[in-house]
Formats: sequence, C-alpha cells, structure tokens
Amino acid sequence: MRDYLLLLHEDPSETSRLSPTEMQALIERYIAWGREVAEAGRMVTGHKLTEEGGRVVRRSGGAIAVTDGPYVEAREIVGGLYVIRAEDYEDAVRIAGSCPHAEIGWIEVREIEAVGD
Amino acid sequence: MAEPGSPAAEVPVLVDRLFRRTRSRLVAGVVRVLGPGRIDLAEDAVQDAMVRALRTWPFRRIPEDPAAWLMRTARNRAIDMLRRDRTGHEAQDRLVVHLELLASGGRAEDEADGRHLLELCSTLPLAPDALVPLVLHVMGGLSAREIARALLLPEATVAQRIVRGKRVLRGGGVGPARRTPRNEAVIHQVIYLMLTEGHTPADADEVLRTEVAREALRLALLLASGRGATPASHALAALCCLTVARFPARESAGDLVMLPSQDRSRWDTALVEEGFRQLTRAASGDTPSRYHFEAAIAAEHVRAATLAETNWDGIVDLYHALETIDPSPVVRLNRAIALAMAGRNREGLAVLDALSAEGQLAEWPWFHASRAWLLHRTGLESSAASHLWRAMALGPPAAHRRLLERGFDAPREDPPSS
Repeated sequence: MRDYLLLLHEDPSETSRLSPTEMQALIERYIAWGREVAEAGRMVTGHKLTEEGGRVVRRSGGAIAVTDGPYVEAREIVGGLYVIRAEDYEDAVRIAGSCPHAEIGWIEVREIEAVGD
Repeated sequence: MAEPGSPAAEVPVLVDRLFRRTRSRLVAGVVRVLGPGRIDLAEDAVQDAMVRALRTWPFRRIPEDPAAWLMRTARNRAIDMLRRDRTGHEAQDRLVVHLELLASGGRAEDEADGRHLLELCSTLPLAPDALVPLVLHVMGGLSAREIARALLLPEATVAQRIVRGKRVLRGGGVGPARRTPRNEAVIHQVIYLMLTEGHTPADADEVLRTEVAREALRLALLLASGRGATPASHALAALCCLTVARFPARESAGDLVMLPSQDRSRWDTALVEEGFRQLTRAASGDTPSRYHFEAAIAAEHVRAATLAETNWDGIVDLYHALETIDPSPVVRLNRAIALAMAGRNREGLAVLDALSAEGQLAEWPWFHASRAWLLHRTGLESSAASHLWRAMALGPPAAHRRLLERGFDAPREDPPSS
C-alpha cells in the first residue's frame, strides 16, 4: 500500500451555479464518500484549505519574493486535499473517481514517495 | 482537524430540503426588510454561504445546527455586501435584527416573510406562465435548470423569464402606489399550475416534479395560514394536501402506478388529515371555487378504503359541478371516466363521443386511450384496439406508453385536469 495525494481543484464559477438542492445532495454524498473510504481503512487525512488564495515564495536575486498565488485569476482554486492509501495508481484513481468532487471540479492524483523505496 | 468521515463521528443527517428552505427564508427576509430591489443581494449571500458549506463540511463534521450555520453565514455575507454598498446603517441594523430573529427560529417572522413575498409576486403584471418560474425560483429556490427540467421547457426560456420577472419585481417594489391590487386569484392560479405540473407524469425528472408539487403545497399552506385567508385558499390547500398525500404510492421501481393499483397504505396520513382540516375551513364561503370541487373529488378518492368503495356517483356529480365553472374538455373527459367507474359506461361513452365531435382533444393521447378503455369496458374490443393504436401513434411520454402497453387489466386513474 502506498499513500496518494488527492488535490481537489475547482472552478468557483461552476460551483456557484449549483442550486441549493444540488449543493445539499453533493455535500451528503461527499460525506458518505469520506466515511466509506475511512471505513475501508484507506483514508489517511483530509484538509480543507482556506478560502484566500495563498502565497508563492520564490528566491529572486538574493532575496525571497512573496507573491499572492498560486492562481492569479479565481478561475481555478484548490479547495482541499486528501491523503488516501491505495494499492497502486489504478486503485488510487478508482477511489478518486468515486469522489463526488470529480463532478464539480477535477482531482489531481499524486503518489507520495515512501522513504526507503 | 477532525478525521474526515471517522466512523465514530455522529454525522447529523441534513434535513430534507434544508438548503432550499434556508435560501427561500433568507430571500424572503431580505425582501421584506430591504424591499424587492435587493433580491440579488439575498440570493448572492445565500449562494456564498452554501458554497462555503460545500467546501467546508466534507472535511469537518456537519455543524450541530446546520440551518443556523447557513443562516448565520449568509447573514454575515449580506451585511458585508450592504456595507460595501454604503446603503446606510439603518438598513443594515434592521436587516440584522430581522435575520437574527429568523436564525433563532422565529417561525412567525418566517411565515410572514413568505406570505409577504408571495403577495408581492401576485401584484406583478406577469402572466401565470411567467410567474410560475419566478415563484419557483425566488420562493422555491429551484435553479433555472431544475425548473426547465420539471416544466419541460428550454433552460434559456426559463432563465429569461426569471430575469424578466425579477426586473418587474424590482420595479414593482419601489412604492406601493405602483403596485396593482393584490390579486389572490393569480396566486391561486400559480400554485394550481405548480401542482398540476408537479403531478403530471412525463419523461421529465420525476423527483423534481415532486419537488414542484411540494413547493405548491408549501405555498398553499402558507397562504391558508395567513390572517384573512379566503375559503378558496383553504380549498386549494386541501387540494394540494390530498394530491401530494398520494405521491408515495404513485411510483414503483421507476414506473407510474395509477390509482387502482396503488398501495393505499403508503398514502401520507398526516397530509390527508391536514387536507380534511383545510376542506372543513373551506366550507365557510358562499360561492365555491373550482378548488372546492377538485378538493372534494380528491377527498372522495382518499376517503375510500378500496377502489371499489369509491363513491363514483358522487365524483360524477362533483365533475358536473366543476363543469359549470370550467367547461373544459379535460374536465368533461374526467367526468366520462368517473361515469364508467360508476358502472355507467354508456353515459361515459356518450360524453366522449361529443368530445370527439368537437375535436379539441384529438391530438391528446390520453383522450384516445380513455376512449379505448371505455370501449373495452363495453365489450367493443375492435374499436378499442384502433383507439389504443391512435393513442400510441400520438407518442405519449414513456411512462404512459409503458402503462398503455400493459393493456387494460386495471382501470386507470383519472388524468390530472389542467
């Protein structure tokens, strides 16, 4: 088993087009998904990221430059992340694909390299 | 950080339609305090709150009191937006006090707001077909896409009607002088349309159609609970209750179940009781409305423990009385079916023959299906088959088609009159 990072991307303008009923249904399915993955022993952790866009830190010349970011426009944000446990990429993609987030945005799946591998 | 979905966590289940209800409460509250000109502010605020919930709740527990959380978040958002607008402290303060009352579960305010908005809608110079989408959107919290799916209209058409309706709503809210007098009949018509739309089975999303009918029920009860509610309002509320009460038995494994085959134990008894309560209150007037007769017909159906025990002769008389108010072909068709159910096949067939001569229902599959069914009952199988063929050729919706294909083992329910 390996750990995989799921980054939850979304387009806020798409999200805000959902009707109240659709949003409620989505939340319910989201929570059910989280519970299911946890009950299967595959959930490592999950975090919501704050609404503000974050900072980007770069060394520029001799100094550290800090800019807002990483997204200049609000067309894409990363709203949250999960770390799950899966057999391989295929398995991780299967789990990510069952997450209702895939319907309102997209999910970036990355394998976390285990120390000593 | 809470463990997402940890099995031990007691996840409070969200109340059915919580989001929709919260939205309509907030919109109604803002409109009551700030006027219909600020309806967009309410809609934006509540949308923001819900998006916040969507991004937050999956990672934590659902708050203890989700309704209060949503209300609080939306209220704060509305105040932020007001501040940016510099609308003045007074408006802000009034809104805060009002929404505070709502958030603390002020049921009286809630209902008053709803009634206020409903009455405001009724004063708009809009035809019912433009009002229905507006009411469904503003009061019911359904999106243009959902309304379009439920009413079988193009989404663009619905969106356009909502935008136009809101523009009129904003204009109409400027001062009482510009409003046309409160027209109760228009509200009744809108609610009635919503009920029939929600009841008419078709290829549209069944769940959404049920939602539309439930919204009609909610609005009808709201109207009937107001001071000075008229007998017609009570009759309409009774009709909504007694119609929606039968919904749980109308569907089985994705197929429509008509009245004769319905499992009557699945009818919603609480709604049936409320329906009869409303019907009693409706009895005080001197001139009965069409809703009085329709509610009385629905009551006859609900009162009967079995199909055989239904008072079909009474229903025939009620349809007859309804015809004096609304002599539409559909009402007469319903009377013909009731006549047949009462064992008066020949009388029923005579009504259909007259209707056929007038030709108004010639393109309606149900007319031919009903005629086929009546002919079948009188033993005229070959004529029955040709009318059934005619009905199928007119392309009825899939749910109806499946019913027709099953044949006439059981008599079917009277179609919803519209």
